[in-house]
Amino acid sequence: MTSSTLLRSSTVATPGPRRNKRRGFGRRDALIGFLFLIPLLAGLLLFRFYGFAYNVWLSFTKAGAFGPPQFIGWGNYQQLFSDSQLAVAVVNTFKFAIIIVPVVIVVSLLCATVMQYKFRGQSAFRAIVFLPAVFLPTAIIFVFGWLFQTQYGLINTTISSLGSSPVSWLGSSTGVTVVITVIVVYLSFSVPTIILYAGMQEIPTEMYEAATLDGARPVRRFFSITLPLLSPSLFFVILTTTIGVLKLFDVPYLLLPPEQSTSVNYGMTVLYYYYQLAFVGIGQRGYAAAVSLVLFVLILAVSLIMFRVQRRFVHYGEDG
Amino acid sequence: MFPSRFKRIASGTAVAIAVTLAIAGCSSTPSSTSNGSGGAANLSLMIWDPAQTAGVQKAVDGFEAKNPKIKVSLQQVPQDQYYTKLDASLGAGEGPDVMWQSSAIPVYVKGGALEPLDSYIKKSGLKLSDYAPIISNLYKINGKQYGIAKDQDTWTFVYNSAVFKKLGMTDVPTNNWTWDDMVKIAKEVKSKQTSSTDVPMSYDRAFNNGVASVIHQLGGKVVDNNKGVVSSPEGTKALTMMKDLQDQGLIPVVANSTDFNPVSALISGTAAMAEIPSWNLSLLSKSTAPAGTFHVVRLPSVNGKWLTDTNGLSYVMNANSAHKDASWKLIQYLTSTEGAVLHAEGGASIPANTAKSTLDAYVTANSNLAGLRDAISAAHQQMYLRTSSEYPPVRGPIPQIESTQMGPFYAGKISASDVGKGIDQIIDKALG
Repeated sequence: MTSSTLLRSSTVATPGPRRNKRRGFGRRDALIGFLFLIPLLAGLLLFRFYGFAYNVWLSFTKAGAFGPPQFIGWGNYQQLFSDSQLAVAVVNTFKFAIIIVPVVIVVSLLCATVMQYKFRGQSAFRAIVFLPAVFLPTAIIFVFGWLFQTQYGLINTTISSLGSSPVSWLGSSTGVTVVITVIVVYLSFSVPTIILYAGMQEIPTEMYEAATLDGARPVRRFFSITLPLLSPSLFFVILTTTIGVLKLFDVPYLLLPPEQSTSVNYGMTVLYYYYQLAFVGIGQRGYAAAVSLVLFVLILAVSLIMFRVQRRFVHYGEDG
Repeated sequence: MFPSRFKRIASGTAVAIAVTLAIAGCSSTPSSTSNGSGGAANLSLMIWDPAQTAGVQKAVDGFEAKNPKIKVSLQQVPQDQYYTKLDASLGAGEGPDVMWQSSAIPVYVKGGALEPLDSYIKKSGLKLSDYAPIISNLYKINGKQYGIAKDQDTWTFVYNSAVFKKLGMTDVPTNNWTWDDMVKIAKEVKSKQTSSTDVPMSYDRAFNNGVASVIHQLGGKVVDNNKGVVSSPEGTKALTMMKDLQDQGLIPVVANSTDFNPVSALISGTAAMAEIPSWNLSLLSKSTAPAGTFHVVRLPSVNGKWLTDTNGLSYVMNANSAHKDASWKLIQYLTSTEGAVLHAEGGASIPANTAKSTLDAYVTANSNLAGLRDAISAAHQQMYLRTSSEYPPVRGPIPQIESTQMGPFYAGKISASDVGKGIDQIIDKALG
């Protein structure tokens, strides 16, 4: 809706003599509306804003599992710089993001492209693509954990039957990275596929027809038409997937539980480290709050950079 | 736009919802309720171990039968959520009337969340000497008793007799065996195993349970004068002994240990023998293996010592409970010989109540395990408190010790003396 239509409708809605009465009605309506919004706003205030503000306050305190926090100023933030575990967690988090996000995008793009074509088993293919979105992530993680199990896992059994030696999937940095990548990609590619597929539907077929007439082959059409016109959807998917992977917790936590694993550092992410600090043992919740704010700043920075970079690559069309 | 009657109803509804929500948000729900009649109460009891739920419920049923006016609601919360939930509810002045506590108790005592039990103990005539002193004293903070010990765990060694028979082994673990005997038997098992997925045995390689107990067997300590002393000669030797087990192929290599489960390995016969904590023994006795398949012995001795770490939980009372007398009655019953026997019949934990009948009940509940009584009795002779290696302040960094020190050590990237120093640094930092 343009500004001129807005002006027109407001003019029509406020004829002279009845203006005051109408405005009075509007206020009361707005009041009722706001009253209905109170539960939502209360929830937002309590669970989002208060929670965030309390977390910021906690980050300046020495807070254990129980008992009143004790204000210590910048102590927790100073500790961040000498924390080798945090460094491991930050490096791992970015490593997973750099590896996983492109794989999710490529897989989603491939699936969305395939979904555009009519073929035998199309419905089954679409169902298979969307299944991970409705599966319980914990169950999927455990199933993959069993598949990659060192002694009896199907993957190692297959590798052994082909004459190679079994791989310690959860016993090395590379192995853990591969397993986590496979699981996260499997759990994450469904929704991006649907979004990209919907974005592809928006591209006018005339463009493809014109390009075909000009002699453009499928690969050229994909890179010169599909990708540029899909860029808004693509940007959205890249942004949300990146934020999701930067907040990775459940996969490493379930594969490498903190209390028994010597390999836990191979999968340690910032959020997992936060969990360990805050909830394992007696808890260091003040310092954990500072770590969580590091993650907040990292995600904010990455998002801002991506928003800045997208101006060059994302085409919102003539209206945009 | 809207009829005025509708608007009144709508605005009235909105205000009512808002007020109701506000009131609901501000009001507190008492964790226990009284029906007003003398001595009657509804108590809440919170625990975390699902394996012990059946035993605790049995004891609770016994309590309710004796105290018909008191109803107890048993809530089992998964262990990794237990303290989070407890912290939130106790912090708000609520929480269960009676709950489990571990060696993390000083934090809760300091926060004023727990009721000192001395006056109740005195009034009721309960004798603390009826409980394993090593556990009971854990719950004495600043001269006051805050918890009554409920169980006492320990570590044992279990071998699968069917696997030993199948391999034609004549030497088996006994209650007199030594570390060298263990290595000799494991080597013989290894030489006879044919499958590449089999391992001779499992020994807890973790620092806190495995290595720390060998350090104590060698006469050393983990913490002395509030400082980490793992870099001592005993510490270095214990670390080397444990790594030798791995390097000789007697226990799974560290890279394969993450998803290795000793209980499952024993049941499937993949491992011929394994070091098993007492809280997992009931998993073996409840397996489908025929009775007598699993034999339990004490840990192998090093220099004549077979020390294992021990710890135990206690029942404690919420300082804000509305029914302190009823809560005390519950605690007293659950930890009494009668209550402990009912709990032990669940088979999942060894009671801290030292009456003979409690151990009898535990052994009977796990009668599928051969040699259990002798093994537990031997283990009880030589124990040290796990908190001597797992001070509450060190509980947090234990995963860090495993991931940054023990993992690279077993992978051959750090020497035993360097890993000892690394662990000391982590402990010192935690002890502050």
